[in-house]
Amino acid sequence: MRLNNMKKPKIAVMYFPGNNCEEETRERCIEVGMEADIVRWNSKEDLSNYHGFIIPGGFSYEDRIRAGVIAAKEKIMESIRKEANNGKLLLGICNGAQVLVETGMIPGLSNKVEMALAPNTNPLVTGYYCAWINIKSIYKKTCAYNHLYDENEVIAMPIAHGEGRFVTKDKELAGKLIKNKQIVFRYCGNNGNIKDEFPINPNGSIYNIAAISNKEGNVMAIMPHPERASWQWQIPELKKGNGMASAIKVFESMKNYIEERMI
Amino acid sequence: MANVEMIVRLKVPDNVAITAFNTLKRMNYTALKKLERADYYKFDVSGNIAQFKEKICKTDIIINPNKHEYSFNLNGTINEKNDGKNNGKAIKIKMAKINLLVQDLDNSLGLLLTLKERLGFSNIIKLEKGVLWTMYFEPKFSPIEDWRKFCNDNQRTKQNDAKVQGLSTELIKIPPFYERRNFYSRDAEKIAEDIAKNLLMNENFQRYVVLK
Repeated sequence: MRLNNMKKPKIAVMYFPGNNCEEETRERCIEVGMEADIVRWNSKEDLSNYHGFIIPGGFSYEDRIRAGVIAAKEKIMESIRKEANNGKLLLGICNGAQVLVETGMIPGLSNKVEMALAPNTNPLVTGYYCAWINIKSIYKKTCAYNHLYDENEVIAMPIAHGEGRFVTKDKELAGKLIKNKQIVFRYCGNNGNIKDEFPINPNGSIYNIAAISNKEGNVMAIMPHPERASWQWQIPELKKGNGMASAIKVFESMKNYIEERMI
Repeated sequence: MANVEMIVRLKVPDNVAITAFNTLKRMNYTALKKLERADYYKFDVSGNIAQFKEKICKTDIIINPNKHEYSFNLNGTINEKNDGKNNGKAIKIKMAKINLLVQDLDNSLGLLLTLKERLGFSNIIKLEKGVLWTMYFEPKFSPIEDWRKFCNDNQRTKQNDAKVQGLSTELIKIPPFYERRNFYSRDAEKIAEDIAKNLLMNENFQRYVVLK
Protein backbone atom coordinates (compact mmCIF):
# COMPACT_ATOMS: atom_id res chain seq x y z
CA MET A 1 0.00 0.00 0.00
CA ARG A 2 1.39 3.39 -0.92
CA LEU A 3 -0.21 6.72 -0.19
CA ASN A 4 1.14 9.35 -2.52
CA ASN A 5 2.04 12.94 -1.75
CA MET A 6 2.42 12.33 1.97
CA LYS A 7 5.83 12.95 3.42
CA LYS A 8 5.00 12.16 7.00
CA PRO A 9 3.03 9.25 8.36
CA LYS A 10 -0.39 10.49 9.36
CA ILE A 11 -2.17 9.10 12.40
CA ALA A 12 -5.78 9.50 13.51
CA VAL A 13 -6.19 9.44 17.28
CA MET A 14 -9.78 8.24 17.62
CA TYR A 15 -11.78 10.00 20.27
CA PHE A 16 -14.80 8.34 21.87
CA PRO A 17 -16.84 10.06 24.60
CA GLY A 18 -15.02 9.47 27.88
CA ASN A 19 -11.48 9.07 26.51
CA ASN A 20 -8.95 11.23 28.31
CA CYS A 21 -5.55 10.48 26.79
CA GLU A 22 -6.10 11.73 23.27
CA GLU A 23 -4.02 14.92 23.60
CA GLU A 24 -0.86 13.33 24.96
CA THR A 25 -1.18 10.46 22.51
CA ARG A 26 -1.37 12.94 19.65
CA GLU A 27 1.62 14.82 21.12
CA ARG A 28 3.73 11.65 21.19
CA CYS A 29 2.95 11.00 17.52
CA ILE A 30 4.02 14.53 16.61
CA GLU A 31 7.16 14.32 18.76
CA VAL A 32 8.43 11.33 16.79
CA GLY A 33 7.82 13.05 13.47
CA MET A 34 4.36 11.94 12.44
CA GLU A 35 1.30 14.04 11.75
CA ALA A 36 -1.64 13.37 14.01
CA ASP A 37 -5.25 14.49 14.25
CA ILE A 38 -7.85 13.80 16.87
CA VAL A 39 -10.84 12.34 15.04
CA ARG A 40 -14.16 12.12 16.85
CA TRP A 41 -16.21 8.94 16.87
CA ASN A 42 -19.07 10.60 14.96
CA SER A 43 -16.85 12.15 12.33
CA LYS A 44 -17.71 11.64 8.68
CA GLU A 45 -14.06 12.10 7.76
CA ASP A 46 -12.55 9.78 5.18
CA LEU A 47 -10.30 7.52 7.25
CA SER A 48 -8.47 6.24 4.21
CA ASN A 49 -6.34 9.41 4.36
CA TYR A 50 -4.55 8.06 7.44
CA HIS A 51 -1.74 5.54 7.67
CA GLY A 52 -2.73 4.44 11.13
CA PHE A 53 -5.09 4.81 14.04
CA ILE A 54 -4.71 4.96 17.78
CA ILE A 55 -7.57 4.42 20.19
CA PRO A 56 -6.36 6.15 23.35
CA GLY A 57 -6.94 5.47 27.01
CA GLY A 58 -9.72 6.70 29.23
CA PHE A 59 -13.22 5.54 29.97
CA SER A 60 -15.15 5.47 26.73
CA TYR A 61 -18.86 5.56 27.51
CA GLU A 62 -18.01 5.48 31.22
CA ASP A 63 -17.09 1.81 30.88
CA ARG A 64 -20.82 1.08 30.72
CA ILE A 65 -21.62 -2.66 30.62
CA ARG A 66 -17.92 -3.54 30.21
CA ALA A 67 -14.89 -1.41 29.49
CA GLY A 68 -14.62 -0.80 25.76
CA VAL A 69 -17.67 -2.74 24.62
CA ILE A 70 -19.90 0.18 23.60
CA ALA A 71 -17.14 1.85 21.56
CA ALA A 72 -16.45 -1.54 19.97
CA LYS A 73 -19.99 -1.52 18.58
CA GLU A 74 -19.76 2.02 17.18
CA LYS A 75 -20.20 2.39 13.46
CA ILE A 76 -16.82 4.04 13.01
CA MET A 77 -15.16 0.86 14.22
CA GLU A 78 -16.38 -0.86 11.05
CA SER A 79 -14.44 1.69 8.99
CA ILE A 80 -11.37 1.32 11.20
CA ARG A 81 -11.56 -2.46 10.93
CA LYS A 82 -11.72 -2.14 7.15
CA GLU A 83 -8.61 0.05 7.14
CA ALA A 84 -6.77 -2.34 9.48
CA ASN A 85 -7.75 -5.28 7.28
CA ASN A 86 -5.95 -3.42 4.49
CA GLY A 87 -2.78 -3.33 6.56
CA LYS A 88 -3.09 0.09 8.20
CA LEU A 89 -1.79 0.36 11.75
CA LEU A 90 -4.18 0.23 14.68
CA LEU A 91 -2.98 0.64 18.25
CA GLY A 92 -5.26 0.47 21.28
CA ILE A 93 -3.85 1.81 24.52
CA CYS A 94 -5.54 0.81 27.78
CA ASN A 95 -9.22 1.57 27.11
CA GLY A 96 -8.33 1.39 23.42
CA ALA A 97 -6.96 -2.10 24.06
CA GLN A 98 -10.24 -3.04 25.71
CA VAL A 99 -12.07 -1.78 22.62
CA LEU A 100 -9.89 -3.85 20.29
CA VAL A 101 -10.35 -7.00 22.35
CA GLU A 102 -14.13 -6.47 22.40
CA THR A 103 -14.18 -6.12 18.61
CA GLY A 104 -12.35 -9.44 18.27
CA MET A 105 -9.57 -7.76 16.26
CA ILE A 106 -7.20 -8.81 19.03
CA PRO A 107 -6.01 -11.51 18.90
CA GLY A 108 -7.96 -11.79 15.64
CA LEU A 109 -7.48 -15.48 14.99
CA SER A 110 -11.17 -16.03 14.30
CA ASN A 111 -14.27 -13.96 13.65
CA LYS A 112 -15.35 -13.99 17.27
CA VAL A 113 -14.33 -12.37 20.54
CA GLU A 114 -11.63 -14.74 21.75
CA MET A 115 -10.38 -12.86 24.79
CA ALA A 116 -11.48 -10.46 27.47
CA LEU A 117 -9.85 -7.83 29.60
CA ALA A 118 -11.38 -8.93 32.86
CA PRO A 119 -11.36 -7.14 36.23
CA ASN A 120 -7.91 -7.17 37.81
CA THR A 121 -7.00 -9.73 40.39
CA ASN A 122 -4.82 -7.92 42.84
CA PRO A 123 -4.17 -8.64 46.52
CA LEU A 124 -4.11 -4.96 47.41
CA VAL A 125 -7.20 -3.43 45.91
CA THR A 126 -10.39 -4.37 44.12
CA GLY A 127 -11.08 -2.37 40.99
CA TYR A 128 -8.98 0.46 39.63
CA TYR A 129 -5.23 0.13 40.18
CA CYS A 130 -2.58 2.64 39.17
CA ALA A 131 1.17 1.95 39.45
CA TRP A 132 4.50 2.05 37.66
CA ILE A 133 5.40 -1.34 36.29
CA ASN A 134 7.92 -2.84 33.86
CA ILE A 135 7.26 -4.66 30.66
CA LYS A 136 9.62 -6.53 28.41
CA SER A 137 9.78 -6.60 24.64
CA ILE A 138 9.73 -10.28 23.85
CA TYR A 139 10.75 -10.04 20.21
CA LYS A 140 12.18 -7.56 17.76
CA LYS A 141 10.41 -6.57 14.54
CA THR A 142 7.61 -9.09 14.81
CA CYS A 143 5.02 -6.33 14.57
CA ALA A 144 4.70 -2.62 13.85
CA TYR A 145 5.19 -1.66 17.49
CA ASN A 146 8.43 -3.40 18.43
CA HIS A 147 10.47 -2.44 15.37
CA LEU A 148 12.96 -0.42 17.39
CA TYR A 149 13.06 -2.52 20.55
CA ASP A 150 15.68 -5.09 21.30
CA GLU A 151 14.66 -8.53 22.42
CA ASN A 152 14.21 -8.57 26.20
CA GLU A 153 14.45 -4.79 26.49
CA VAL A 154 12.80 -3.65 29.71
CA ILE A 155 10.54 -0.62 29.55
CA ALA A 156 9.04 1.35 32.44
CA MET A 157 5.42 2.39 31.98
CA PRO A 158 2.47 3.20 34.19
CA ILE A 159 -0.71 1.16 34.27
CA ALA A 160 -4.04 2.67 35.28
CA HIS A 161 -7.00 0.35 34.93
CA GLY A 162 -9.57 -1.78 36.71
CA GLU A 163 -10.11 -4.25 33.89
CA GLY A 164 -6.76 -5.18 32.41
CA ARG A 165 -6.40 -8.89 32.93
CA PHE A 166 -6.06 -10.67 29.61
CA VAL A 167 -8.07 -13.91 29.87
CA THR A 168 -9.61 -16.41 27.51
CA LYS A 169 -11.84 -19.43 27.84
CA ASP A 170 -9.94 -21.11 25.00
CA LYS A 171 -7.30 -23.28 26.64
CA GLU A 172 -5.32 -23.56 23.43
CA LEU A 173 -5.27 -19.87 22.60
CA ALA A 174 -2.23 -18.88 24.69
CA GLY A 175 -0.20 -21.59 22.92
CA LYS A 176 -1.27 -20.25 19.54
CA LEU A 177 -0.35 -16.69 20.54
CA ILE A 178 3.09 -17.81 21.65
CA LYS A 179 3.61 -19.82 18.48
CA ASN A 180 2.53 -16.87 16.32
CA LYS A 181 4.75 -14.47 18.31
CA GLN A 182 1.69 -12.33 19.03
CA ILE A 183 2.55 -11.66 22.67
CA VAL A 184 4.58 -8.51 22.14
CA PHE A 185 5.14 -7.25 25.69
CA ARG A 186 4.99 -9.07 29.03
CA TYR A 187 4.99 -7.75 32.60
CA CYS A 188 8.35 -8.26 34.28
CA GLY A 189 10.50 -7.11 37.19
CA ASN A 190 13.18 -4.38 37.08
CA ASN A 191 15.77 -6.82 35.77
CA GLY A 192 13.45 -8.42 33.22
CA ASN A 193 12.55 -11.44 35.30
CA ILE A 194 9.06 -12.69 34.55
CA LYS A 195 7.08 -14.04 37.47
CA ASP A 196 3.36 -14.61 37.55
CA GLU A 197 2.92 -12.91 40.89
CA PHE A 198 1.94 -9.50 42.18
CA PRO A 199 3.35 -6.83 41.84
CA ILE A 200 5.35 -8.01 38.80
CA ASN A 201 2.11 -9.12 37.19
CA PRO A 202 -0.08 -6.24 38.39
CA ASN A 203 -3.47 -7.51 37.27
CA GLY A 204 -3.30 -11.31 37.04
CA SER A 205 -3.07 -11.35 33.25
CA ILE A 206 -2.46 -14.82 31.82
CA TYR A 207 1.16 -15.43 30.85
CA ASN A 208 1.96 -11.91 32.19
CA ILE A 209 0.56 -10.47 28.96
CA ALA A 210 0.78 -6.70 28.69
CA ALA A 211 0.29 -6.39 24.93
CA ILE A 212 -0.93 -8.62 22.12
CA SER A 213 -0.78 -8.03 18.39
CA ASN A 214 -2.79 -9.64 15.65
CA LYS A 215 -1.08 -12.30 13.57
CA GLU A 216 -0.24 -9.82 10.81
CA GLY A 217 1.41 -7.46 13.31
CA ASN A 218 -0.38 -4.26 12.30
CA VAL A 219 -2.88 -4.21 15.20
CA MET A 220 -1.86 -4.18 18.86
CA ALA A 221 -3.65 -3.85 22.18
CA ILE A 222 -1.47 -2.66 25.06
CA MET A 223 -2.68 -2.06 28.62
CA PRO A 224 0.21 0.08 29.98
CA HIS A 225 0.48 3.69 28.80
CA PRO A 226 3.52 4.38 26.58
CA GLU A 227 2.33 7.94 25.98
CA ARG A 228 2.75 8.68 29.70
CA ALA A 229 6.30 7.36 29.86
CA SER A 230 7.90 8.66 26.68
CA TRP A 231 10.15 11.27 28.27
CA GLN A 232 12.58 10.80 31.10
CA TRP A 233 10.93 13.58 33.11
CA GLN A 234 7.73 11.55 33.10
CA ILE A 235 9.36 8.59 34.83
CA PRO A 236 9.85 8.85 38.61
CA GLU A 237 13.27 7.17 38.59
CA LEU A 238 14.57 9.30 35.72
CA LYS A 239 12.77 12.56 36.33
CA LYS A 240 15.88 14.73 36.21
CA GLY A 241 16.58 13.76 32.63
CA ASN A 242 15.30 15.61 29.59
CA GLY A 243 15.74 12.94 26.94
CA MET A 244 13.30 10.50 25.47
CA ALA A 245 12.54 7.34 27.42
CA SER A 246 12.23 3.93 25.89
CA ALA A 247 8.40 3.88 25.79
CA ILE A 248 8.53 6.47 22.99
CA LYS A 249 9.85 3.68 20.77
CA VAL A 250 6.29 2.32 20.48
CA PHE A 251 5.47 5.45 18.47
CA GLU A 252 8.83 5.58 16.72
CA SER A 253 8.34 1.97 15.69
CA MET A 254 5.01 2.89 14.15
CA LYS A 255 6.65 5.68 12.17
CA ASN A 256 9.50 3.44 11.12
CA TYR A 257 7.12 0.66 10.03
CA ILE A 258 4.93 3.05 8.03
CA GLU A 259 7.90 4.68 6.34
CA GLU A 260 9.36 1.32 5.39
CA ARG A 261 6.16 -0.08 3.95
CA MET A 262 3.68 2.62 3.09
CA ILE A 263 5.42 5.80 2.06
CA MET B 1 -29.80 -22.70 55.54
CA ALA B 2 -31.88 -20.72 53.04
CA ASN B 3 -31.44 -18.84 49.84
CA VAL B 4 -32.23 -15.15 49.73
CA GLU B 5 -32.29 -13.40 46.37
CA MET B 6 -32.15 -9.63 46.42
CA ILE B 7 -32.67 -7.35 43.43
CA VAL B 8 -31.45 -3.76 43.70
CA ARG B 9 -32.53 -1.27 41.05
CA LEU B 10 -31.90 2.39 40.52
CA LYS B 11 -34.88 4.65 41.14
CA VAL B 12 -33.18 7.33 39.09
CA PRO B 13 -32.62 6.88 35.33
CA ASP B 14 -30.16 4.07 34.70
CA ASN B 15 -27.64 5.43 32.22
CA VAL B 16 -26.04 2.03 31.70
CA ALA B 17 -29.36 0.47 30.71
CA ILE B 18 -30.16 3.42 28.45
CA THR B 19 -26.78 3.17 26.70
CA ALA B 20 -27.14 -0.60 26.35
CA PHE B 21 -30.65 -0.20 24.91
CA ASN B 22 -29.53 2.44 22.40
CA THR B 23 -26.56 0.30 21.37
CA LEU B 24 -28.83 -2.71 20.85
CA LYS B 25 -31.14 -0.62 18.70
CA ARG B 26 -28.10 0.35 16.62
CA MET B 27 -27.30 -3.36 16.38
CA ASN B 28 -30.78 -3.92 14.88
CA TYR B 29 -32.41 -5.66 17.83
CA THR B 30 -35.68 -3.99 16.96
CA ALA B 31 -37.87 -6.50 18.79
CA LEU B 32 -36.47 -5.31 22.11
CA LYS B 33 -38.79 -2.63 23.44
CA LYS B 34 -37.46 -2.01 26.90
CA LEU B 35 -34.36 -2.91 28.89
CA GLU B 36 -33.85 -2.73 32.63
CA ARG B 37 -30.81 -3.46 34.73
CA ALA B 38 -30.46 -4.39 38.37
CA ASP B 39 -27.81 -5.66 40.74
CA TYR B 40 -28.50 -9.22 41.74
CA TYR B 41 -27.39 -10.84 45.00
CA LYS B 42 -28.00 -14.36 46.15
CA PHE B 43 -27.14 -15.11 49.76
CA ASP B 44 -26.91 -18.50 51.39
CA VAL B 45 -27.88 -17.65 54.93
CA SER B 46 -28.26 -19.54 58.17
CA GLY B 47 -30.47 -18.48 61.07
CA ASN B 48 -33.41 -16.11 61.04
CA ILE B 49 -34.18 -15.12 57.46
CA ALA B 50 -36.63 -12.35 58.30
CA GLN B 51 -34.07 -10.66 60.50
CA PHE B 52 -31.43 -11.06 57.80
CA LYS B 53 -33.65 -9.42 55.19
CA GLU B 54 -34.45 -6.55 57.49
CA LYS B 55 -30.77 -5.97 58.23
CA ILE B 56 -29.30 -6.45 54.75
CA CYS B 57 -31.54 -3.87 53.12
CA LYS B 58 -30.27 -1.27 55.54
CA THR B 59 -26.67 -1.86 54.50
CA ASP B 60 -25.62 1.26 52.67
CA ILE B 61 -22.93 -0.69 50.82
CA ILE B 62 -25.59 -2.46 48.78
CA ILE B 63 -28.50 -0.04 48.91
CA ASN B 64 -28.51 3.73 48.99
CA PRO B 65 -32.18 4.49 49.67
CA ASN B 66 -31.84 7.86 47.99
CA LYS B 67 -31.34 6.25 44.61
CA HIS B 68 -32.06 2.54 44.95
CA GLU B 69 -35.12 0.39 45.43
CA TYR B 70 -34.98 -3.30 46.19
CA SER B 71 -37.04 -6.44 46.31
CA PHE B 72 -36.55 -10.00 47.41
CA ASN B 73 -38.59 -11.29 44.50
CA LEU B 74 -37.62 -11.76 40.87
CA ASN B 75 -41.15 -11.60 39.52
CA GLY B 76 -41.84 -8.03 38.63
CA THR B 77 -44.96 -6.94 36.81
CA ILE B 78 -45.26 -7.74 33.12
CA ASN B 79 -45.94 -4.61 31.19
CA GLU B 80 -49.10 -4.42 29.24
CA LYS B 81 -49.93 -2.04 26.48
CA ASN B 82 -52.69 -1.18 24.13
CA ASP B 83 -51.20 -1.65 20.70
CA GLY B 84 -53.91 0.40 18.97
CA LYS B 85 -54.43 -2.21 16.27
CA ASN B 86 -57.36 -4.59 15.72
CA ASN B 87 -59.52 -2.00 13.95
CA GLY B 88 -59.46 0.46 16.73
CA LYS B 89 -60.77 -2.04 19.25
CA ALA B 90 -58.41 -1.95 22.18
CA ILE B 91 -56.67 -5.19 22.95
CA LYS B 92 -54.03 -5.69 25.57
CA ILE B 93 -50.80 -7.27 24.58
CA LYS B 94 -48.39 -8.65 27.10
CA MET B 95 -44.77 -8.18 26.33
CA ALA B 96 -42.56 -11.22 26.59
CA LYS B 97 -40.26 -10.63 29.52
CA ILE B 98 -36.88 -12.32 29.85
CA ASN B 99 -34.71 -12.10 32.96
CA LEU B 100 -31.11 -12.76 32.11
CA LEU B 101 -28.42 -12.87 34.76
CA VAL B 102 -24.79 -12.14 33.86
CA GLN B 103 -22.12 -13.20 36.34
CA ASP B 104 -18.35 -13.19 36.36
CA LEU B 105 -16.90 -16.70 36.34
CA ASP B 106 -14.67 -15.84 39.27
CA ASN B 107 -16.99 -14.13 41.71
CA SER B 108 -15.18 -11.64 43.90
CA LEU B 109 -15.03 -12.39 47.61
CA GLY B 110 -14.53 -8.72 48.50
CA LEU B 111 -18.17 -7.94 49.28
CA LEU B 112 -18.66 -11.15 51.22
CA LEU B 113 -15.66 -10.36 53.41
CA THR B 114 -16.86 -6.81 53.99
CA LEU B 115 -20.32 -7.99 54.98
CA LYS B 116 -19.01 -10.71 57.28
CA GLU B 117 -16.03 -9.04 58.84
CA ARG B 118 -16.92 -5.37 58.92
CA LEU B 119 -20.68 -5.40 59.12
CA GLY B 120 -21.25 -8.46 61.28
CA PHE B 121 -23.15 -10.67 58.84
CA SER B 122 -21.57 -13.80 60.18
CA ASN B 123 -24.58 -15.87 59.08
CA ILE B 124 -23.84 -15.41 55.35
CA ILE B 125 -22.33 -18.64 54.12
CA LYS B 126 -22.09 -17.85 50.43
CA LEU B 127 -22.72 -14.88 48.20
CA GLU B 128 -23.26 -14.73 44.46
CA LYS B 129 -23.67 -11.49 42.63
CA GLY B 130 -24.32 -10.43 39.08
CA VAL B 131 -26.16 -8.05 36.82
CA LEU B 132 -29.76 -8.85 36.10
CA TRP B 133 -30.98 -7.64 32.72
CA THR B 134 -34.71 -7.61 32.16
CA MET B 135 -35.69 -7.47 28.52
CA TYR B 136 -39.16 -6.79 27.21
CA PHE B 137 -40.05 -7.90 23.72
CA GLU B 138 -43.19 -6.82 22.00
CA PRO B 139 -45.09 -9.54 20.16
CA LYS B 140 -44.65 -8.86 16.51
CA PHE B 141 -47.23 -9.59 13.87
CA SER B 142 -45.43 -12.46 12.26
CA PRO B 143 -45.30 -13.09 8.55
CA ILE B 144 -47.66 -15.86 7.56
CA GLU B 145 -44.74 -18.22 6.85
CA ASP B 146 -43.47 -17.83 10.41
CA TRP B 147 -46.89 -18.56 11.78
CA ARG B 148 -47.27 -21.67 9.63
CA LYS B 149 -43.79 -22.82 10.62
CA PHE B 150 -44.79 -22.40 14.23
CA CYS B 151 -47.86 -24.54 13.63
CA ASN B 152 -45.77 -27.23 11.97
CA ASP B 153 -43.08 -27.11 14.64
CA ASN B 154 -45.73 -27.60 17.25
CA GLN B 155 -47.35 -30.51 15.40
CA ARG B 156 -50.74 -28.89 15.06
CA THR B 157 -53.63 -31.13 14.12
CA LYS B 158 -54.82 -31.28 10.53
CA GLN B 159 -58.02 -29.66 11.61
CA ASN B 160 -56.15 -26.72 13.11
CA ASP B 161 -53.88 -26.48 10.10
CA ALA B 162 -56.93 -26.31 7.90
CA LYS B 163 -58.27 -23.66 10.19
CA VAL B 164 -55.08 -21.67 9.77
CA GLN B 165 -55.14 -22.14 6.01
CA GLY B 166 -58.68 -20.93 5.91
CA LEU B 167 -58.13 -17.75 7.83
CA SER B 168 -57.66 -14.50 6.06
CA THR B 169 -54.13 -13.13 5.94
CA GLU B 170 -55.11 -10.39 8.32
CA LEU B 171 -56.39 -12.81 10.90
CA ILE B 172 -53.41 -15.10 10.56
CA LYS B 173 -51.22 -12.15 11.34
CA ILE B 174 -53.04 -11.84 14.63
CA PRO B 175 -53.35 -15.36 15.96
CA PRO B 176 -55.11 -16.11 19.23
CA PHE B 177 -53.46 -14.35 22.10
CA TYR B 178 -52.08 -17.31 23.99
CA GLU B 179 -50.56 -18.86 20.88
CA ARG B 180 -49.01 -15.62 19.82
CA ARG B 181 -47.49 -15.28 23.25
CA ASN B 182 -46.09 -18.81 23.22
CA PHE B 183 -44.63 -18.23 19.81
CA TYR B 184 -43.02 -15.01 20.80
CA SER B 185 -41.75 -16.07 24.21
CA ARG B 186 -39.77 -18.81 22.59
CA ASP B 187 -38.46 -16.38 20.04
CA ALA B 188 -37.73 -13.77 22.69
CA GLU B 189 -35.57 -16.10 24.72
CA LYS B 190 -33.44 -16.81 21.67
CA ILE B 191 -33.04 -13.11 20.95
CA ALA B 192 -32.22 -12.44 24.61
CA GLU B 193 -29.45 -15.04 24.52
CA ASP B 194 -28.14 -13.55 21.31
CA ILE B 195 -28.09 -10.11 22.93
CA ALA B 196 -26.21 -11.52 25.89
CA LYS B 197 -23.56 -13.08 23.67
CA ASN B 198 -23.18 -10.01 21.46
CA LEU B 199 -23.20 -7.25 24.05
CA LEU B 200 -24.10 -7.94 27.64
CA MET B 201 -21.38 -10.43 28.48
CA ASN B 202 -17.99 -11.61 27.34
CA GLU B 203 -17.94 -15.37 27.57
CA ASN B 204 -14.20 -15.39 28.20
CA PHE B 205 -14.79 -14.33 31.81
CA GLN B 206 -18.53 -14.26 32.26
CA ARG B 207 -21.56 -16.52 31.97
CA TYR B 208 -25.27 -15.94 31.63
CA VAL B 209 -28.36 -17.76 32.68
CA VAL B 210 -31.99 -17.08 31.80
CA LEU B 211 -33.92 -16.98 35.05
CA LYS B 212 -37.36 -18.54 34.77
